[in-house]
Amino acid sequence: MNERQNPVNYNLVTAHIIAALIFLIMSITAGLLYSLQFLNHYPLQGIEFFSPGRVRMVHTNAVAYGWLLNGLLSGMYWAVPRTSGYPVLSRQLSWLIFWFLQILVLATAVGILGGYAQAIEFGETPIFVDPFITLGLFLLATNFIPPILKSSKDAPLYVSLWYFIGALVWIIMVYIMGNYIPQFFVPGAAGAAITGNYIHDFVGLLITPLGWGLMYFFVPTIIKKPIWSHTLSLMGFWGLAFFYPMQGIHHFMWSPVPMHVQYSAVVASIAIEVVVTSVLANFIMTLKGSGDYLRTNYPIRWFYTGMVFYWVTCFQCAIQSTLTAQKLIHFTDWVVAHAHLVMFGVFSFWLMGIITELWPRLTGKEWYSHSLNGWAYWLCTLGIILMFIDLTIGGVVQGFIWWGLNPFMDSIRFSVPFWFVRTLSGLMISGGIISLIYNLSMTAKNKNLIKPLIH
Amino acid sequence: MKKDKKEWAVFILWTWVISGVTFASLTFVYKFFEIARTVPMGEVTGFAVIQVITYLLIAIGFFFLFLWSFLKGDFKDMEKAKYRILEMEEKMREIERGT
Repeated sequence: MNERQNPVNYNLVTAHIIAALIFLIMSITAGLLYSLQFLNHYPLQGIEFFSPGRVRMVHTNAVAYGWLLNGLLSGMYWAVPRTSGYPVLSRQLSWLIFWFLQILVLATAVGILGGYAQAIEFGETPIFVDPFITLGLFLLATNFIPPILKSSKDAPLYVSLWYFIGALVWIIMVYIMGNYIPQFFVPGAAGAAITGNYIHDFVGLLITPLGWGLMYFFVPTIIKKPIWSHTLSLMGFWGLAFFYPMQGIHHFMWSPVPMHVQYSAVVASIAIEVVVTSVLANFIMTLKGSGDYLRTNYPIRWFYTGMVFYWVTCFQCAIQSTLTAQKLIHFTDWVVAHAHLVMFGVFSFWLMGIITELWPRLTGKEWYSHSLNGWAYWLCTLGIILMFIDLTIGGVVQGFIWWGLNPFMDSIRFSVPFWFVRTLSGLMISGGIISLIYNLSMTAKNKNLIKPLIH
Repeated sequence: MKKDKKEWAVFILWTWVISGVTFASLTFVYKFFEIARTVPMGEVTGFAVIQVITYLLIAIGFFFLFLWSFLKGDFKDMEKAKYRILEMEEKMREIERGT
């Protein structure tokens, strides 16, 4: 069979999924270790290479680049050829990008642990790694954009492909802006404002469009029903394209950044909620009449749970970016709760749904255990809800203690019970992830065959 | 004459869309104006110029993509793509079943 007939590279999809899961394990291990520091039980105390501050950065970077990027790429290597009808530019280039990514994530982890982190949140990739990541991002765009352009000659582009184009182009600009300009050209408050934009745009202009692009592909193809309104979905995309990029200033409320710029970031953050609500309404209407999928189909359940969490985070974003709310919650665990709900409750849930959908089809094996799929879903869902509520309340408590000008140590003493529950919820999430990974590995060894896609 | 249920749905949808786009556009203009005003302030010139240039590079590029898409007729039948995608997926599954 030639590529024009079957343009999907199944081995590459599988490789990205496996790499993503390996980095997910690395990330949750680092996260759990770091949470123990807050309970004064950090097991690697005194070892500089594993000092808690560095381990925290490994946690966030392994999630962003190792888990999410690998996982999203697996979805793209599946979805782009199927939505465009054409293979990506080159199989060799795809494998080169695959190995490049894994080496860069590992180099980042080693660099961070060695003390070479760059002082930019989500941009801690050491400065000697940055040029290679920039090159990798160019290669990624070179590989994925040709099939999309070819497809645009055949018919109007489907919304997923618009999202993919957006992400591939935006991330190059965003990465260069965030990693080089504050480091070399614009220090101080101006540089901080740029890093604020970078943090927000890294999530909003890479992870978010790739995630939504995949949702617009997987949901209709699983429930075998078109998206409710393609027009509305395109409005969601163009809304993101034009109104999202500069609201990251809201990470620096009450800072030396000019006040009118801070006000404008608040307004933009609230405005984007309109776009988000329209996207969610579109997906809810798509499921109308097919609600039983939520009960019977695990991928759909992961997807829609993630979407609900997405709306919560965006609604929360609109509120917490106001100056009034920032007075209370800035620097508190509220922000940590918000970040975990976005990165785990939304995008990781979507990836777990995608992996659950693709794994039996890729391996050609029946599920080893449907019950373990249920355990994975419920442990992760209850775990993230517990973590979110716990840290949100903890954040408010910390905020009020600081607001009341009480001794800082009071806020630490009051926070310990919240941090204990956070570790507990982290263990629940880890249990869910281990259930999923164990089920995937046993499924791959399962003797009950369905027709495999990998040869 | 009374509007039927579908007409109401269309009316509400369009009202929602127009108000959303208007609100978002106004905030965009406001935001852009405010940020542009920052440029002459010496101590934050770097901040304003870099942010605005980066944003413009992104936005202008996508504005031309939008224009290109419009001119080649993608918006004549905006719902067509969602049906095509399902047909293509069905063909892919047939190919996969045949391998």
